[in-house]
Amino acid sequence: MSSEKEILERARPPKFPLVNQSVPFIFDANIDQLSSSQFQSNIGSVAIHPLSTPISYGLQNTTESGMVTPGAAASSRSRKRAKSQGDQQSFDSLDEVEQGALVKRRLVTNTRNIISEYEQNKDEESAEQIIEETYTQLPLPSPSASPTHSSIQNEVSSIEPSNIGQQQSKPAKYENSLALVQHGDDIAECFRKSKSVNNITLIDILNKKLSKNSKNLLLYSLLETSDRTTLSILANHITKFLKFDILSNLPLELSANVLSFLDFRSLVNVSAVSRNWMSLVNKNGNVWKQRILFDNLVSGPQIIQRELLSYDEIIYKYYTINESFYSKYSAKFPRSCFEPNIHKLIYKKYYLTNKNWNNPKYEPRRISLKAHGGNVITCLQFDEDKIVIGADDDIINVFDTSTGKKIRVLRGHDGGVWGLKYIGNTLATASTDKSLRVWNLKTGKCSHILRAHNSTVRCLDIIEPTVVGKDERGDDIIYPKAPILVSGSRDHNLIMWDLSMVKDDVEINKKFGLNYSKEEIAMSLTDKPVEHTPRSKYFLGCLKGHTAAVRSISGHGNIIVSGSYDSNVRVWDVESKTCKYVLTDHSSKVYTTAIDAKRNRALSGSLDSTVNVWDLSNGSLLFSLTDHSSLVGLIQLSPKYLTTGAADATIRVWDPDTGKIRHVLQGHPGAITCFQHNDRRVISGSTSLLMWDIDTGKQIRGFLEDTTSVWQVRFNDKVCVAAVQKNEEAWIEILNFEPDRIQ
Amino acid sequence: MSEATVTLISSDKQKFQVSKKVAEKSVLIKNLISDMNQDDDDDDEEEMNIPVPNVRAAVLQKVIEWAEHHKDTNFPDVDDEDTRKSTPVDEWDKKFLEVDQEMLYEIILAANYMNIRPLLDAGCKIVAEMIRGKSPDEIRKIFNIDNDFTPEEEAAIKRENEWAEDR
Repeated sequence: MSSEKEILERARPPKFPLVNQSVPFIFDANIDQLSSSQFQSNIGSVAIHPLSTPISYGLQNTTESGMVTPGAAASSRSRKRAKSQGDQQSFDSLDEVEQGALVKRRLVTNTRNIISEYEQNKDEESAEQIIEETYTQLPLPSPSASPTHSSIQNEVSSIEPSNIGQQQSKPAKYENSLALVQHGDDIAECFRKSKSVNNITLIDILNKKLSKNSKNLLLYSLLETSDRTTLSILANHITKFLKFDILSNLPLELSANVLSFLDFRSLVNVSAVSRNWMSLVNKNGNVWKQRILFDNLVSGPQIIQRELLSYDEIIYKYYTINESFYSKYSAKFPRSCFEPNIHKLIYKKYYLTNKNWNNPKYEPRRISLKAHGGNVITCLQFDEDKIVIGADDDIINVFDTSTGKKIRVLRGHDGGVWGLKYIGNTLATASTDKSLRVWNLKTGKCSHILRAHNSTVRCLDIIEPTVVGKDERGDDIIYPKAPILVSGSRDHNLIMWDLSMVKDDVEINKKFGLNYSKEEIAMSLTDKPVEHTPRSKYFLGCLKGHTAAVRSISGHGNIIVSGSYDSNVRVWDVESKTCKYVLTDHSSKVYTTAIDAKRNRALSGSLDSTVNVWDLSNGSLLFSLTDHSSLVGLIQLSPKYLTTGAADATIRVWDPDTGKIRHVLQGHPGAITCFQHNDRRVISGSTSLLMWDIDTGKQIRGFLEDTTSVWQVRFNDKVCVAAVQKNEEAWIEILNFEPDRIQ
Repeated sequence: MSEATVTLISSDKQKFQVSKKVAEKSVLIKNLISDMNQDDDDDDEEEMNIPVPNVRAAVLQKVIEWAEHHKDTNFPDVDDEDTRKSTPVDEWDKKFLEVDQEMLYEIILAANYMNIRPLLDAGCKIVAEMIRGKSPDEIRKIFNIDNDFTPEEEAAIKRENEWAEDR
């Protein structure tokens, strides 16, 4: 049985040097204000070498119960406090080894007293049985439990010396505990069996009677005399016990922050960890939404908004978890963790869509439509719902994007349509009949006819209201107030029209905050198209200056850039209707223009095989891209990429900042007739379609190898639409990369 | 006169004297100081005691240690989502946050409460690093979480998540 000598033995100072290591343990005695009288005085601080990492974590973690103060700096802190108390001065002057010895001496005295109390209360119970009982009563938490912020310190402080009498009324347990102390080799077993503490054991008593640092010293001394196997078992156990489910315990917005740093695969794994973790991801709906945008799976948040409208369809097609999984739990849990997470499913849909795009063996669902007979298709614009096609005949066709069904035929022009653009449900078309028409795509009606040109209208653009700067109060300056339609003609002129003539387009009104009264809207609706001439109040002006046909127009905010067969590029000020700059560096016809609003630049492509980049602040030529060897008729600009297509059969990818060439996309047998890029790929048309990786410049695959030539190509995140010629006839081809239903 | 200091008081009533510059790494404290200065600007020399009631001493100690180290660090704009996400955890921070899981948890909570965005993000990134690239089973081991799915459910989850597997 434990004798005083033995206790002393156990509590002897550690064999290794008691020096302050880089991460020492500080037994902060000052926090201890309870214990028995021997311990009333504060004893400063003692540094002890950490045992091993897992164990040291264990000691450190006991901070939760207010036992140890970790961190090197705590040492100086406790000293400081010790100094503030006069009676500590002498103690503080001791070196740490001496302090340690002093603490231990006091500990021993204290422990001896406690033990002797137990000894007096021994009874005859069988030691073995007692041990067995005690093992099941050890006050250690079960490994699966999360540590709680218990306040042992507070509990202890409430124990008065008089309580000891009560404790003594259970002498058997003291005996047990003493036995336990001597059977440390079975500690791991105790841990496993221990679930709760109903009875007071020696451990309880020690817990309550010993000060924090004394307890740690005792613990430490016990550990020191334990064999490696015990230590190793203990270490494993403590390591496991110290694991803590951080994610579940964090407030939702912080767990969302953690999740926002995870890639999609990790997110998928997180939701497969447990019900709780699955719910955690599902409750943070934004996590997957952000992932979709961050991983560039769709071209913008509006696509996600749009997908949310087909909620049921997405679940039907892409969620494989049987409904019974979440309906059967609904009685028990208000929301089962198995309920579909729509943003995760949208991610899944577009992840698989993107995989289809990049898989050369994947055959997209293809819809081929005959359209416009033997005429040339001149323009194409499409979105999720509709495809609008203009051709060298008099009509405009509108098809349903997903089914390919012809929705509308817009009739009215007396000549071929060479330019079109729509915003919202308002379509503007330019024709060889010298007029422009404005249509309502919902009703298929032509609402306005604009007559101000003397020759074929060759090109048009719609300038949308946009933020052009800040006023002195810091508010956004938006220009123009309502969309402006600007057209360029073979008559050398540009004409600007105020598109507020259309008042019933809810989408436009909502997007640009335009408010028309019911009367105004009703007045604007007429059975027949309203004819406008330069005398109309919606006629904004004629921009004269070019000396040949205007071939290309780009507008942004208060700026219009026009390219003409007179080899010049002109920059116009919309509000003052004046020409700001005439850019004269091209030596031949200008075929295409673009505005780089972000960098305040204009770009122009010409028959002289160059692309010029102009500074819009002063009209100077910044640099020329001279790599192409033939007519550059196509320019596209996005924040990260500048692409140009030429009759030399190449597409070139440039750095839009410096004009440095990044890739030459070579593979088409003839002139590039059309192309488009996004942040992932380029799709280009010549005799057939080719797709390229915009980052690597590598050709991924081809499409529509059965066509003679491609006139137009456009694509979005899941669909590619091309206007092609096959067997002397015009066709619309829709290639759909959306994944099939996952069964 | 040396640089201005303030005294932070932890939930367990421990006092920490730190320079104002260090304390102001916490937006919460920065705002408190500026509010207090506004109230009585004629009495600048008065000692400033700022209670941090949600943070206990051991954690506050760590937070102060971090702020001392980053006294002169210029952190990227907190509103720049892309930069925030793509910036890896600073090497020193990584070492600094090699602590017990619960301490890490408390540091994150403290950084959030005291409004120290770079520390909060570093802490959250460290947790994310513990999860990243791990299988569900590995994650369970790291955080000692019980798998409470039935085998039937587990099979269904595996099937549902097949798309995300490495080819």
